[in-house]
Amino acid sequence: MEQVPVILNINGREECLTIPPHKTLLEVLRNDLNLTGAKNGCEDGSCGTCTVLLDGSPVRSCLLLAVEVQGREITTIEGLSDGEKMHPVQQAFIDYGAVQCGYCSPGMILTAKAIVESAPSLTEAEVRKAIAGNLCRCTGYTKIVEAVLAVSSQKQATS
Amino acid sequence: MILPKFQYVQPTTLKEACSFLDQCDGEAAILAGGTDLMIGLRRRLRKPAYVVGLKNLQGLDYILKDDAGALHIGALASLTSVKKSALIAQEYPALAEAVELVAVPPIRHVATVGGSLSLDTRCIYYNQSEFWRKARPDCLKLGGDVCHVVEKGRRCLAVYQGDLAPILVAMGAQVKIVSAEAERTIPLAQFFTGNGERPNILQPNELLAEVILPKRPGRTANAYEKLRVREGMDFPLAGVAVSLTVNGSGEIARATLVLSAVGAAPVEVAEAATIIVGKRTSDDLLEAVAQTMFEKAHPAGNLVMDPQYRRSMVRVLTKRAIRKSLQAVGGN
Amino acid sequence: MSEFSVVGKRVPRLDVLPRVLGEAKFSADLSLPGMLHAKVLRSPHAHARILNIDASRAERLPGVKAVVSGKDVLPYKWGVFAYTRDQQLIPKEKVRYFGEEVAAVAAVDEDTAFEALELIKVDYEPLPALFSPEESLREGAILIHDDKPGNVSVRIFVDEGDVDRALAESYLVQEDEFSSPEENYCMLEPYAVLANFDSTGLDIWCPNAGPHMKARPLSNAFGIPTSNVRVRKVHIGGHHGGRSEVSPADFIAALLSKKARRPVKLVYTREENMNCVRQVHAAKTWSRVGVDKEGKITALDMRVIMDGGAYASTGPIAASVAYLMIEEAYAMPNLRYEAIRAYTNKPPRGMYPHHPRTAYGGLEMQLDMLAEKLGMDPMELRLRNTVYEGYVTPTKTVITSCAEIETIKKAAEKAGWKEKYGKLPRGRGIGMACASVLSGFPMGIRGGSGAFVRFNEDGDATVISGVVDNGQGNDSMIATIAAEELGLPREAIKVVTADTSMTPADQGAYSQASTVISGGAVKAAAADAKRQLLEVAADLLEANKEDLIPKDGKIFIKGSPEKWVSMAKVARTALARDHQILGRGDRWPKGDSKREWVSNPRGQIASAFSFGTAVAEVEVDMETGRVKLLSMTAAHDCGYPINPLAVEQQIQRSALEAGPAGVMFEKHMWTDKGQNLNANFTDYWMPLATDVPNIDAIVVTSNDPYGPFGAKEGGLSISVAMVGAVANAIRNAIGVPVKEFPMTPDAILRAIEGNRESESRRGG
Repeated sequence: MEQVPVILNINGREECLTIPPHKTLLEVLRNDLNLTGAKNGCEDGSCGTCTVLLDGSPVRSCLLLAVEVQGREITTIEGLSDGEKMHPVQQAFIDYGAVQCGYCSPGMILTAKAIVESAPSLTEAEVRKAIAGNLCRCTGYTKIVEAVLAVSSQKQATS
Repeated sequence: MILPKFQYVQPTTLKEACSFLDQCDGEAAILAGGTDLMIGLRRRLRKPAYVVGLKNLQGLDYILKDDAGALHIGALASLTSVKKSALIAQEYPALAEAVELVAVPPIRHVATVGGSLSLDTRCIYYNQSEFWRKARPDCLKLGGDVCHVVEKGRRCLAVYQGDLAPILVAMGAQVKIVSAEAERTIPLAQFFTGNGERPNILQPNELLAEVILPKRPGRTANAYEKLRVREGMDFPLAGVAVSLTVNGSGEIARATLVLSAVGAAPVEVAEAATIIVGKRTSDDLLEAVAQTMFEKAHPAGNLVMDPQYRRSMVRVLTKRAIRKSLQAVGGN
Repeated sequence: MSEFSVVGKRVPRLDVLPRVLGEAKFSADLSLPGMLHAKVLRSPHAHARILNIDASRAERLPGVKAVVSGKDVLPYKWGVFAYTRDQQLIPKEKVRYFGEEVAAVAAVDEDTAFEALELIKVDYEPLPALFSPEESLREGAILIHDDKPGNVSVRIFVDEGDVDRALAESYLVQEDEFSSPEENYCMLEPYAVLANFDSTGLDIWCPNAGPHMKARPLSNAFGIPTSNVRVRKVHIGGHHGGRSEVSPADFIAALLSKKARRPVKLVYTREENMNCVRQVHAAKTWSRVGVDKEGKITALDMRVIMDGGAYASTGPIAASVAYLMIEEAYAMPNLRYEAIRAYTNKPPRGMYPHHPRTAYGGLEMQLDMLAEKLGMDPMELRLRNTVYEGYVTPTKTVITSCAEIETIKKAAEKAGWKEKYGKLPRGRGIGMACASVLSGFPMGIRGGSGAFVRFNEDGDATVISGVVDNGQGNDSMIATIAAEELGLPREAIKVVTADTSMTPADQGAYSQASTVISGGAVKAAAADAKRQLLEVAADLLEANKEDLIPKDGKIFIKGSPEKWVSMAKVARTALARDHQILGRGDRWPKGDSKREWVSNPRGQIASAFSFGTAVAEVEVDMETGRVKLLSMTAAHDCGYPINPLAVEQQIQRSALEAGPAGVMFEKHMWTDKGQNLNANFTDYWMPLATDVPNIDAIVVTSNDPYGPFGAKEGGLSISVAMVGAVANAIRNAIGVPVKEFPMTPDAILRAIEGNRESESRRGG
């Protein structure tokens, strides 16, 4: 099988790999780079558990080929905390009870991070629209929305 | 679930892309946003020898206005860029609204205008895993000779469910199609075949390159009404798009009504338009238009919603789209 | 205000850090050196005899290390109960649903495994297939299991009091039939197993709701001692009732590993997760309920026909919960209930919080219709029919702690019931419903939980318990209980849980037993450790044991707060005296051990009962039938909240699963060959964040005598109550009960239209 060299920018690091072209970004993250935060939850791009940030925007990594995203900035959940300190969204998810089983959480947190950073302030409706692509069965969404709004207000207050 | 194997090529210019397609001799699939093809590959609905990836093709994602006031949208413009475009918000706000009805934001961030227009038609007997499909004889769309929706059906009824096409057709859009040798511009309405097996007229060596919207005439408003159950994610179960121009006396000077997601293509329903052209709208007229649209709609049992319901909602969607347009244009 | 130090405090859960960091490893995230990848070959027939399997070509494919099929299986049939044993974990003789496991391969990579599947040749003799109870219960229908006559999986029959006379003498009687197709669990994690079978036995990582409940059937299936089956701790992405039983996936992965002598990972697709683990019963409910002039329920006569799918699963329990939960929520002197769970050639159906939605949603709509006919506020009707402490149900269960009335009042107040009911315009509606959930029912020798508490020389403690955390926060819950009992901060408690090689047996995180039974065991073990600590501390402080209070990591003398000794010092002193502080305890459900689901449905069913009331407000687009949920309010009597935040989480989860999911959106559709048409998240409509409003969760207390610190189960009542609340809200909005679930827009318009037709027929 044909293998191609790729250079992927993941969480600020360059990863050099040789892979067959039919591998998705999700598969490369999980199987080649041991970044198992992004999950596989469905076959048709409908659940959002594979979400990563592509140049800051949440996308489904299961719908991207790894070869397609060279030269782009890819952020996974593992890249959010700087080793010591968590991202405010991660902390808020803990504080507000926005995490239960945690399977949707990496994707949900990345999506939340993107929306918080893209708007100076947010309404409940805007948050719900932003996370509409991230399915969750455990929380009923309420505490997730609360956590995101809290981070957004906090950001507003400190800016 | 892993994808089938293929060779990947990544052109950086439109010319290169067309050249590749020519060489691939019908064995290539075009990967733009990936939100349709990747799922089709995973389900082995398509097993192309080559995948032509367009994500690094430069210069095809523009949204511009030309000197004549027409809007040009590059086929690789993402749906999110359409939604955010100040130009579109100003010139064709109904298009921005229609885009926001597509799926969910992460899909829109990568999905493209060209991809939406060339969306493959869908059917609950077709959009299934390979294991599921193999338990039945191949249907017409798979190249077999049966239809699982209509017994002894000879025509594929798979549904076109793109959300941009209806309103673009209503607004008189054209599309530019390019290949290595030639380039042609046709009305978007003629892009679709009405055949569920091959939804559009693109030849294997052709690419949809651009959408052109004419300068919006004065006192014109457009609206798209989409039927779905959830507040997000879902493909339309039925759709009606309307474009209306109102004259100084409040009469409908021009109207285009498009029926969508109840068949294999979005279709302009001229008979519905003639009912209101030259008149001021009234409840009775709206009923008559709605009835005409209803009679043109023949959804089959190939989505997860009762086709009778989908059909009867065409009436409601029609009236709401017309009312919405009239409100936007300040008429009646 | 809480009189406890850590229990009752609304604080973040302890167990979520790995999850927000993306560090939490679920089964599919794990790998072992030399691991193989497995794929399953599935039946393309809904019902067929397996004539022959030829896997020789697959076995010879380079990279394939093992192939298994029914040929490799011991003649062992598994069942939740001894009398429901009907499932071979890979079928030998015949397949009973489209997609059932037939064979499996383990190979060096997924590509090879896929290729190998194509090389396995199976000869089938297709048989007539039955896709509904109507078909399978019909006389002369082909038997899906040769030893189950009439295709009856289980029949539950309860007949207490004199239902016919009570109904005949009732002031009003309401009779209706409700129907619903299947639902699905929609846990976000698709099923995945990692198994390693070597000379010491089996290590297996898989989603579960009680690892000990998986170990036993696996040990039977392999003919090895249970202690050689080690079901390991793993992060689990939701359970919701669908993962408590051993799965063919567990067995297949283990069998492949045994044959290949290498670890094997089997990861399900979403389609496999929706079809080949468990689904939620389709059901029809026929219900007749009577009231007297004051609106008090006189009798209930209910019949439920459930589509059980190909195997028994938890049939006797699944078929019983409807009457149990209803008789524990509403007082009624006469009850007759019959449930028939039928076999069909569809995927097997398991336990689900609100199944059958037709029974709960149906009865609640009937109560509202009766209230209307009596000219009574539905809230008032419910207040008149609640159970209470000391109430004895028709099947002779005594209710212990009960704050049902308070849940009604609090939910109604928060939702603005009095301001809204009867005052909303057509198209707007408000609805209410109540429910009760039994906590911890006897399950014979496997119904209890054990725990150890081990003190460390630093003065912190480790709790060792068999309880499993599926995401609902059980790990955090037992840490909190132990911390309270021991007087330590929560962060000083570590937990080792859900690993059958290390942790004592536990009954499993279902039947809502975790708080009452598992938590109770941990409390008992902590109390035992505390006793040992206080003995040493009494010595060090020269005080009486009875005068000592452990708190904040120290042991104080009551009344003399300046006299204390640190927990660390006590622990080390004990060690210096050649004594390790080791606490042990166990806890069992309180119940009548002679009560049995089928043969003797009478006696005390459970240790405790939770109660809840839900209120929902909707707006219905009368032209399209689309429903918008304007508000959801739920009050749940959890006895005492170990952590109110965690109870709110469960209330909110339950509300979503019951209301928008269970009432408004979710169902499966089928082809004429028994194929599931929407085993994916595109066409199976799970609620999105944009489909629901904020869910107001209210915690109510009643200080249960049996639960640890007075706690009972944490929120499941709402999973039932919100079904009725949304169903009633829709009925209130459109003026007509919708009798088919889910109440998708087309169903709503059908109900409106049907009502219009019948009204015009009546000349009304």
